[in-house]
Amino acid sequence: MNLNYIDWYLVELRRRIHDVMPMEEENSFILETKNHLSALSEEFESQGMDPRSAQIAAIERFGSPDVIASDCLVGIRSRKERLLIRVAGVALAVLLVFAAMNQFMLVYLPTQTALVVVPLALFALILGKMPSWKWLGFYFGMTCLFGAVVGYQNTFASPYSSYSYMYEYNSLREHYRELHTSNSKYQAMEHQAAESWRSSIRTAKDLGKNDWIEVPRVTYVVGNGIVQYFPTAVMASSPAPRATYAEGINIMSKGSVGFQDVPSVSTLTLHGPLTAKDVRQALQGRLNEVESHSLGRDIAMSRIETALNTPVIQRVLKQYDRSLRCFILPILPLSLFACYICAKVRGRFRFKPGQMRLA
Amino acid sequence: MGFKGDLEALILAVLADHALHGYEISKRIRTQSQDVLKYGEGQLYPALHKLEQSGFIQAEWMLQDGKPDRKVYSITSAGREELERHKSAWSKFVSGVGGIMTSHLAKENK
Repeated sequence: MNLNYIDWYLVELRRRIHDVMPMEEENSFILETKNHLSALSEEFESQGMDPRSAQIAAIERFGSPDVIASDCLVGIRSRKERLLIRVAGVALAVLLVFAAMNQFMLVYLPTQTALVVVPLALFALILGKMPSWKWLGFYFGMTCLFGAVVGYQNTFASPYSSYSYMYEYNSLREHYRELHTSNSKYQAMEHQAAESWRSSIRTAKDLGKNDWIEVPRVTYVVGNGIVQYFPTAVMASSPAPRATYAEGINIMSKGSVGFQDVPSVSTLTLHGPLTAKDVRQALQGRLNEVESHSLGRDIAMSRIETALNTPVIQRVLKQYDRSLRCFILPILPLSLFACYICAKVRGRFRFKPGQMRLA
Repeated sequence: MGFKGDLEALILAVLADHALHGYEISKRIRTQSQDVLKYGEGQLYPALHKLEQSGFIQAEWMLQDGKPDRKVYSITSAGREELERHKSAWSKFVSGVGGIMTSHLAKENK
């Protein structure tokens, strides 16, 4: 490749504007410069200079690439700055979409956000420029790693963490509503069966060999799964709500009354020979079982209702409401915007223009 | 008020009559100022781009047979108004400096 002085000059000039000027403007500017230098060189050659001397003279008249580049970049945002603004914009848009969807996959951590945003903002404010890519990458990487570990511990890993409480709270509330809706239906069924048994108990007689009576039979199948959420209710309503998970399990095992059964009614036929006493005993046993279930559900609902209104649970709930369903994600756009604003305040994005001078 | 190398005013003045490309603008400034104004000719282009962005001039690439394409600049109506403001400011500057310098020269001649 046979490069002349003008080509070398253009390479130097391009190198100085390459990372800042938009590509289209850069190409246009380089082409104009090339045309200008070629025309100047031809002019000098026509005055009797040899080609090399003419090129050097043209370059000297055109001026230092440093001065021209700095003049050229006045008022132009650097590519890095433009890219950062785009990245921040996209991240912010994603954040808004997530917020609109009311998701909280990554929980907002104010302290961690401050740890990232404040130093970067201070950096930009003091030095008046954006940090280098390497520095930004390293800093974001380390803080995200730190945030991931701390955030995981605080939000997911611990069974009595705020996230766990929130999750359990929502589950508990949902099942409470479910139980509240279905309980009246269950109780009506049980009440009807119990009335029938009481009547049969009052009128019980001996049954002969060929005698029989029909009474309702209530059976229970596994249903709404209240028991599995009961430990949280107990833990939350206990004096030390942030007790260890083992303590919670212990409380649960003592407090568990097995309310997950859903009643269904069919018909039971009692065949003789049976004495009236045996009939009464059989029916009374059924009655006790059903009353126990019905009462148990009432007790469970009462306890869950108490748990849901526990100050600790309410405080956690309010905390989550205040967090506006934010995520770790806002750290990135917040940091970049803070950096950008601080650097802009310092006004160091702009290069100083060169001045024309009188001969 | 001082002369701060107002290249933009000179460009507008040169473009007032003709649409010209960068090299020709530079050449005209040089010849019309009788080589009094010295500046790196490369500084012309940042000034041209600034004027273009301000809407005082407009640019168009002109294709040439057998020659490199040229970006030709022409003045806009906003540019003409801007030129008038520059002319007015320059007149005041010249009359102010001229008044002092003329009286000084008159004293020296006595």
